Amino acid sequence: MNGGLGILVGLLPAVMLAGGASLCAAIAVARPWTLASLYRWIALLSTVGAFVASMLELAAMTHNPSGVGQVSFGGGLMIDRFHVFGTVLVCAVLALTVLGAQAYLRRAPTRAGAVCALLLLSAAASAMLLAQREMAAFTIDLALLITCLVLLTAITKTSSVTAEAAFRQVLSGGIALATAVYGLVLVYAATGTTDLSRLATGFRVNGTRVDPVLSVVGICLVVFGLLILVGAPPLQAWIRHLHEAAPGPIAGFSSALGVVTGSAVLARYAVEGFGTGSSRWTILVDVLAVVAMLSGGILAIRASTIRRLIADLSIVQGGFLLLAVTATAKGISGQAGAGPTALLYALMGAATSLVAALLLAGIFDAAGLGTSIDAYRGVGRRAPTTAGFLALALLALAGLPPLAGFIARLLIAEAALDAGAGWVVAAAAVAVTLCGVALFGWLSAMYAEDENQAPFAVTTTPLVSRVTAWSAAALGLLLAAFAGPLLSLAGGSATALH
Amino acid sequence: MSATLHAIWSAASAAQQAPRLAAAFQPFRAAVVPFAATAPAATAPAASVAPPTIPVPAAAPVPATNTTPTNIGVDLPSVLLSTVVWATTAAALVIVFLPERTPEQRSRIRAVALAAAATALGLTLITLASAISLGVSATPDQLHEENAAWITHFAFTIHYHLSADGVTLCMLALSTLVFTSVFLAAWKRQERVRLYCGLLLLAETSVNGALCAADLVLFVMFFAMQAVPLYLLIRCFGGEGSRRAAMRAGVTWLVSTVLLVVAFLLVIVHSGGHSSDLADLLTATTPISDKVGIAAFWLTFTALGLGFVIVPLHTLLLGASAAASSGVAAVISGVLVRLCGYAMLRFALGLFPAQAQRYGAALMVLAVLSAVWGVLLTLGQRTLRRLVAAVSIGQMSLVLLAISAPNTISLDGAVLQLVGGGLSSALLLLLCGIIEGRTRSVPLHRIGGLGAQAPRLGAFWIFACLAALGAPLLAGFSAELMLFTGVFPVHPYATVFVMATIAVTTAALIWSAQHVFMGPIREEFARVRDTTALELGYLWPLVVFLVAFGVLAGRVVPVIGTGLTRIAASLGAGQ
Repeated sequence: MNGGLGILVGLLPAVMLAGGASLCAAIAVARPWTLASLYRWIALLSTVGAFVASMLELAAMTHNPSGVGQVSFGGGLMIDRFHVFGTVLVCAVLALTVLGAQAYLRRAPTRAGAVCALLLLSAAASAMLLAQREMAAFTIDLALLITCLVLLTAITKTSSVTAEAAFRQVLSGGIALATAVYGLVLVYAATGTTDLSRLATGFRVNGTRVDPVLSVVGICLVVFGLLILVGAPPLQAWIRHLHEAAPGPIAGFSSALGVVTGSAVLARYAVEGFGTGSSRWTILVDVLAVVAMLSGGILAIRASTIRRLIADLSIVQGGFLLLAVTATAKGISGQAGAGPTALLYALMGAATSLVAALLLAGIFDAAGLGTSIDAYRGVGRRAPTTAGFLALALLALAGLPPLAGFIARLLIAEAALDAGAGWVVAAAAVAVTLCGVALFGWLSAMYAEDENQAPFAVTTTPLVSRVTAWSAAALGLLLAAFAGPLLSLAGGSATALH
Repeated sequence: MSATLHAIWSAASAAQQAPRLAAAFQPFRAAVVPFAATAPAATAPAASVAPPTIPVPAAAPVPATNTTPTNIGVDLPSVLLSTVVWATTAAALVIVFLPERTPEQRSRIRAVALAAAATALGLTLITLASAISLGVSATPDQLHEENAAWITHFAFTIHYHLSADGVTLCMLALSTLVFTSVFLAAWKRQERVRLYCGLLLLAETSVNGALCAADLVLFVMFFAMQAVPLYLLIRCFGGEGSRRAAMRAGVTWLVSTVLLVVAFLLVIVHSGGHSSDLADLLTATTPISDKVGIAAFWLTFTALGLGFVIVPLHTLLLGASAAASSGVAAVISGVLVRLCGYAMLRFALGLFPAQAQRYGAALMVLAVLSAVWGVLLTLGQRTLRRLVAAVSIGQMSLVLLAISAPNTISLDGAVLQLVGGGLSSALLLLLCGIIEGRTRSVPLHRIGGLGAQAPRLGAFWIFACLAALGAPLLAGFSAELMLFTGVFPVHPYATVFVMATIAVTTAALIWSAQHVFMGPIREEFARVRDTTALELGYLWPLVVFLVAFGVLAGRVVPVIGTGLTRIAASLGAGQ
């Protein structure tokens, strides 16, 4: 693929998603009384279109063993297998969300157009971000993504708590964006160009050596800015507020999209952008990963609502993903190459389990059950199927066997040990145990206790949404069973990182 | 009896070691074993008096991984082990979709669960019987094997590698039999049948999978799968104190898993073989460094020790056995504790032979401490269930003693002890359930005189006590005989000491039998029923197996011995 056609094909998934978003927005403005199902169909068709476009990209890269299909704008835009993998994952999260959000869209038909438009636009921003190595474009994409996610939370406001969550998200997003932009400015000062890959060469555009202090501080600030998307400390509070306040599907989408985009972009920059400075910033990320895993695990034990539990487990999961990112970064110095493969596989499990858990919690929420642990007592007896799948999703999120979360953590631990981060692996082991303890408490409430007899009916959620949520939870098992071929896919995509 | 002695003799002589032991056995054997003169291994070098060392067969090559099932005379499908492992999960999936509103529907659920468990039991017994009937000369190391690459595109390869040697088959027989008995014991259960059967089925998959797994990651996956079913089974169906006991058991299992993962990852990363397959690791050309080996050995030992009821890690699963329902307690004490013992042999000893030998004295001290503490606990218990659970500590201390002085005889004995001890523990705990049901779980000192009303129950109890203690003609006898003869040359004082603790345990169990079943009939128990047909249905198979493993020990031990070839070889290499 060359020239304009190549760029068009490369950007086609994002274009299709953005096109769908524009269509939804236009219809919502022109005909506000339109049925919510129309927006849903537009969103689904756009997602399918983006998926097909990604497959076309993949087909175009078949004969290229390096996994790179198109390099445009002087290396600023990389359309490669890594990008395709990320885009497909984003499309999967979007499809699950759109199907699972049917109940919410029916309840709030006037917001359906805006919600679908924002879902599509944030997915498009995410797809673009995954291919960016150019700092200015990266900043715009990141700003667009954060804005869309904040607006999604704000627009689905159901109470003052949701408004507060959106406000906190704005604050955290603003800090993250500002930090990342300031870091990019320092990197620009160090390299003399907006092409991030220049940093990896260690030389400025004029041939002199890059200032090490400037570059390391710049890298650390960029990393710090991106950590908010993953939900890592110290800016992880927005995850908790979002999970507690937003409707299940929206919270799941925002959280999963943040995890996928943040981790994947960090991995790309770790390999292609930060280069020689990697050994310095990885210490920061290792420490933050340990803090995320241990604090999330401890807080999960004390979680008194299902949303808080999911949020805390997702923070632990974010810590594991950061561990994979640092293993990826250390891998380029020749020690190991398992990090990116483990990361991509872990992202699949993380995204699906997050979406599944929040969709299922949303189903119980819509049924009038509430979110507290008291409300969930005996739910395993009263709604066995949905409760069973919720337990499955929580097990996957906590990383307990035999689900994908466990395999992902195992592979990440191996990659980290390979990269010489044994102490982080020890903390990770403690975190998994803490998550298990937290989960036991909830399983006990769901299956062993039966005090709560308040009536509720999960059938208030449409069958399509319920089946979507069940399927998302069952994906945890399927991803584990087919770990071999999926890791092969992830490994192929990871080789595209240079 | 003679067959047992013959087997011991064969194992000792064929291994070309322990000559002093062989010499000591010669006159005894000549008197008891009539066909000794024709036995192929009757030429022991009596002149040699060198102290017995780690017995390694003269030609004990580590067999290459076989990707196809070995033909053992019966045309069994190549998915035999997968069927044994996954049949119960398939049944659990079926059960999920079955309603449980009416008694008929509940019966259907129980029937599906029992059918799956019985299928696994049947297949295991057919394979074991085939191996035994062929005899040791025709029995290969791996009786059945399934091997397929599962995850290849990673830093190391993970295999879906199931294999069954003699040791595995004996343990599978124990596991499948106990689970089948527990399903039968739950036949009258009317509450939450679907959850109970589903969790038990998943637990059986986990145990059988862990027993068959020949890949470290696959083993950890199966082993860790146990945590959630174990927790929920104790929590949802346990009695007083089940909340605390369930949490402790669940967390114990999780900690075990995490420690195992770390230990195995250390081995995989540092072996340089890029594979987690046990066979590949055993034949890896790059030996792991001593420091890593020691760390991994102790991590593995601690991980498995948590489930192995070794002092001071014994309280966790012990409490679970006491708080859970009798069926679940039978699974915990009869199967899960023994699974940890099996894994100790297979992994702690198989993967780290040098470290196991280096720290043999420490393991011996732990074994003696466990035996002594087990006796003290047994004497101090006030309920039948706790008494039986405490006996397990003594039984497992014997296995640990064998691991502290590993040779073919002691390890053969350890495996037999695992099987025999598991069967007797399960039998005792199921009997506890029956007695508790009749007497409404009153403390031990308030039960008495049940023998007059329930003579069959009393007979079963006395038989189970005798089995647990190792009475002749039962599985425990052959096990203890081999174990002590194997360990005595290495740790004579410890052996005598542990034997003495068994005598005290014997007294405690006999006292329990006397207290519960003898004496005058008490008024509150005047209408206690004897065992029903259903109860006989799940008690008799356990009794039959205890007798069979005791009487046929001479036929079973060689099959077990073939399974220990690899471990013996690695022990020889580790010297």
